[in-house]
This record gives sequence, C-alpha cells and structure tokens, in this order.
Amino acid sequence: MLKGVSLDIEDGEFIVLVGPSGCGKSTLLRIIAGLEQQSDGNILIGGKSVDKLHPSRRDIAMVFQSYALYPHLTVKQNIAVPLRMRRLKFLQRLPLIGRFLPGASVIRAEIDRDVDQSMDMLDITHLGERKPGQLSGGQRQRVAVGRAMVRHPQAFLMDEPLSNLDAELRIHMRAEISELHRRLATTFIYVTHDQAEAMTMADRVAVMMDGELLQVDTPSHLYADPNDIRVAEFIGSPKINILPGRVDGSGKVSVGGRVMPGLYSGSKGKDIQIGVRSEAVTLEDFNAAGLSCRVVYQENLGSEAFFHVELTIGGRVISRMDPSALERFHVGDEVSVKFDTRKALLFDAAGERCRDKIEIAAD
Amino acid sequence: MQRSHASIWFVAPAVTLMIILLIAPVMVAGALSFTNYSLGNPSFDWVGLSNYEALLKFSSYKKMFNASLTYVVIVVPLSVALGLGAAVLIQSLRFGGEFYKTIFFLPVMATLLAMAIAWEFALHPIVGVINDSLRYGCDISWMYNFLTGAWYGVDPASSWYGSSCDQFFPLWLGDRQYALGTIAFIGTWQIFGFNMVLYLAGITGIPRELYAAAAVDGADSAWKRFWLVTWPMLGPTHVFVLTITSIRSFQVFDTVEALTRGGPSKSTYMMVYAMYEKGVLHNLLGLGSAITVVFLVFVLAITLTQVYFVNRRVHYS
Repeated sequence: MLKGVSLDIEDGEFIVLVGPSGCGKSTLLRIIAGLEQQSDGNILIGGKSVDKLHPSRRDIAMVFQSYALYPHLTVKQNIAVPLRMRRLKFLQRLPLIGRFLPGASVIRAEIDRDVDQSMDMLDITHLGERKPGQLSGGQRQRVAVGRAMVRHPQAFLMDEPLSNLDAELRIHMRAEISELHRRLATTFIYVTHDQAEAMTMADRVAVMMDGELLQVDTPSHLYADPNDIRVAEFIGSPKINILPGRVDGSGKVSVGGRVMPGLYSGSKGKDIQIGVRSEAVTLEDFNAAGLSCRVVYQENLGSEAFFHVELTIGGRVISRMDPSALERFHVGDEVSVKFDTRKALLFDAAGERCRDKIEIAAD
Repeated sequence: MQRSHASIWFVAPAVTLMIILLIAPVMVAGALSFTNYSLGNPSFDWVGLSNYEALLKFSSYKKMFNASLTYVVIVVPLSVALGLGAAVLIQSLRFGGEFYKTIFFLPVMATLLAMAIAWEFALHPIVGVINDSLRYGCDISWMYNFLTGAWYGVDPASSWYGSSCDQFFPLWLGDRQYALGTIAFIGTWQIFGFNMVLYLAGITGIPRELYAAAAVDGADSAWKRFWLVTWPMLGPTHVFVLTITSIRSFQVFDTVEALTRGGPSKSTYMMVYAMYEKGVLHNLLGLGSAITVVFLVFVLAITLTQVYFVNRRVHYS
C-alpha cells in the first residue's frame, strides 16, 4: 500500500500528512505507532529503531478520529489510563484491593496530580467525573488530547482528530491544537484529508497520494512551488486552473493555438500543462490579445469575487478578483482572460513540474 | 372536539393476545394454587395457603429447591465463562473460526431430548463409552500415574481415580452423589454455545480503535487489553447472558425427564420437573400451581435484577 516512503521529522516539529482518502496516510501513522507492521524498512524515533517495539514502548501517544475514549470510565479515569497501565502493577490496578497494597497509595496520588495538571491545562477540570457519553464532541476531543499528553510522550500522533466536529468548532480547535503544540514544544504528526487544516497548522506538510510521498515542504512553498501537478491540484482552494499548452520549436508557449506573450519553456516541441492559480487570472473587456471566453458563474464572498469562465477553446477557468469587478462583468458577458505569466506553473504531459520555464520580461 | 379512540384499536390486538396467552394463565395458576382442584373433578375447595405450607414442610420440596438452585449455581458460571472464553478465542483465530462456532453451537440447535438419549448411552455404567474409556486408562501406566496424582507423590489408592480403578467407576446417573453434577454438566454443554454466540455478537460491536488506543496507552498484552477493553465493553452482554442463562437453567426439564426422572432419591428433582410430576402425572393441579407461582417469583426476581442493571450501570451512552 505504501511505496518507498522516506520522511525525516525534526524534533518539536508540527508535520501534517495530507492526501485524499485511501492514500495511505493513516497507514503510515499506524506504522509509526506500531499498530501495523511494515513489510520493509525502518522506523526510528529519537535515533533509536523501534521496529520491534510494542506501541506502548515507543513513547508516543495517539489521538484517534473517533477519540477512542473508554466509555465505562469517567474523564478523569480515562486520562489516568496511560499512567495506571505503566506505573501500577496488575494487583495494584484492581478495584478496592488495589488501594491497600503497599506503595499503591503514593503512586495513585502521583497519578491524580498528573491527571489534574493535564485537565487544568486543557480547561476540562469541571468535566472530571463525567463519562464520555455525557460530553459534546469538542469536549471528547479535549479529553482524548488530555489522555495523550498526560504522559509527556516524545511525539503526538493525531489521526484526523477534527473530522468529527462541526465546521465552526473545527476552525476553533485548529487554533487550539497549534497553541498546544507551541506550549508543549513536542513533535506532532497530524493526519488529515483537509488541505486547509494542513496549510494553517503545519510547520511542514507531507502530501501523499496513492501510497507515495509526493512532496514535503512548508505550506507556502507547497502552494507556490509544487513539484507535481497532483500536489498543485490538491493544495489551494479553489483548485488550480490547468490548461493544455504546447511549446513550439523556439520555446514559445501557446494555449489553444494562441501564443502566450512572455511565457517560454525549454521543453521545445512538446505538449505541456499550464497551471495558473485563480489569483493570477484576470478578466478584461473583450480584446484580441487575450483568450476569449464567456462568464458562466460568479461568486461574491464580500472580500473577493470568483468568476467562472468558459474558454472558447474549451475548458473552464476560475478567476479571483476584487469584488469591484462584479460591476464590470456579468454572467453571459463575452470577455477576455489574461494570465500573470510570472506565476504560471508548467508541467509536462505526465504531470511532473518543468523547471525549465524561461521568463523574458517585456516581450 | 371529541377525542379519537383510534389508539385503543391500535393496541387492542396486542393487549388481547397478552391477556389470553400470558396474564390470564398466570392468574388462573395463581388462583388454582389456593385450591385442591384436580383435572376431571366437578368442583374444588379453597384450601388457603396449605399448598404453600406443603412446599415448606415436606423434605422432597426442600430437595427440589436445593437441586434447582445447585443446578443454577453450577451451570450459570460455567456456561458463561466457557461461552466468553470460546468467543474470545474464536475471535482471535485467523481461520477455522466458523468450524468451531458450528461445533459449539450444534448442541443448542439439537433436540435436547434426543441428545439426552445419546448421553444416556455414553454414561451407561457397563457399556457406556465414558466408563469404558476410564477403565481403559487404568491399564495404561502413564495415564494411571497422571490421573491418580502418583507423579506428584500421592498414594494412588487414596485418589478418586485410583480407588475407582480398584473397585468400579460411578453410575453417573444412578448415584445420588453424581447425578446432579452429571445433569449440570450436560446442561452446561448444551447451553454454552448459545452464550458464545451472544458474546461473539458483543465482541463484534466493540470499536477496533479502542484496542489500538489501549495498545498505545500501555496495554501491551492481550490479557491487559481484555481487562481494559473487552470485559467492560461487554457489560450489556454480560447482563443479558446472565439473565438468559439463569432463566434457562431454572427451566431445565428435558434431561431430567429423559435421564433421571428426578431421582435418585430426589437429588435431581428440579422445579419444572416437579411441576410436571405434581400437576400432570399426579393430577394435583393445586400443588403444581403453587410450584409454578414460586417458579415465577424466581424468574421475575432475575428479570427485575436485569432491568435494574440495564438501567443503572452498564449503559454507557
């Protein structure tokens, strides 16, 4: 399922594994946790191989998509589980009798103190005696995080922890988890299918598709400088515009038979694909120089406006413009589009980035 | 505005059936338990509590309660533990699970009366396969040593197996000392497959992520994960299994009727068999009804306990 994935994560880094569902990101996380066994290769945590270690000995903690709280235990008991399982012996863990065994009361008091500290940090002290069934989604989420951090592990693994929350709470929890990362200064490995989550929270983002790691980079690099057309298409909303193009013998790039002024490529005589972000596309009154098109749909978001246009040569393009443009262009209008060629990304026919784009200013 | 009476018509069929099939017979049994009615008699006398007095006074009824309760106390824990054990083990199998499920469930589906006849042959003191095998073991030295405890330094003649080899193996169904245990063994064998299926269903309902969470939280052995996740998550199943098994154990009849008829010396005189013997064979409907009422009280007590636990403790959401 995973194909030759190699990933180095810095100490204290917030790394997000992102990709469409079924791309293998959760599998990779479960392999790191030790819940699944890799067929080949090594996992090192803190420089030490953990391939042979049980999940409980890898010094990691995990937050699950369903939170996986123990429904029969109270919030306090849930958070205490990782400590009880490690610090107390089997007999000491028994109800009633366990309290009276030698040494148990001291350890129990320590556990209580650590649990209280965790709950305090997450502001859930008042929920201590409740059971998970009596909590809201956001509260359960916090309890799951509390259970993960109570032991101060070397790394936090989070498997789509926000996907069961409603949209508003999700945005709020994003900020909270980022804040928690800053305070704990521990490594976070976070899996999500939501590219917006990845872009807003991560120090670095690892984009995965079909079991392959396509690119690992900071969010801004990933957006502006993708290595692969699949990365370009996955990152950014609205989706990047892709147009078929051709490079002629002299290196000039043309789209639909029309030469794009100022855009040159070294891949002479080849078909290429041109990716243009919506903010690099502008509409103009109909003129002979640009590509002719018709406005088919417009969205007004208040701070910006999106225009969906149908090109005469075929294909749809989305343009992001200032809302004032809504007065100039209306649905059904025949207009022209212009691309900011400096921001155009060129990919070869297979989708690999062509880094041999040549720009010649002022043609 | 006139109130619609449609609701009455909607519940009427269910209520009528319940009254005819359930409530009325119970009331009749309750009423009969205060009479000396016999089937065929034109009339009867009210005898007050004398039927219940008989239940308390005569030693055969003391033996009846003793046998029924002992049977329940043996069969319930054994069949619940075996059912849970089998379910957990089958769940962990990568293949072959269906095979074991079928084998363990077969006694549940089979007619107990027919099975009882098979057991009667197997337990026959002379030609039965069980005593035959035990006698055969007496002549195999390592088995003799193992079963008598001689390998541990025990005097072979003083052990159960050793002395049985010297004299004779028990009449499983004909000996007062063994009959109830044997019937309880057959009851356990018959019922535990049913508990296994209930537990398998319960285990299937436990979210897999909980086991992953338990593994990360430090439950590094299957034993620890069982106590942290499986056992508590089966709470509702435990209550249901315990209730069903208790009621079914109280109801045991087929094996008693086919194998011992309550004997020897009333050691297997179970309540439902006593009901049948008094009410049908001896045509003492009043006494039979009194046993029935006591039986109902037992079952009701178990059911109410279940309702209490379901409402209070084991519902997590």
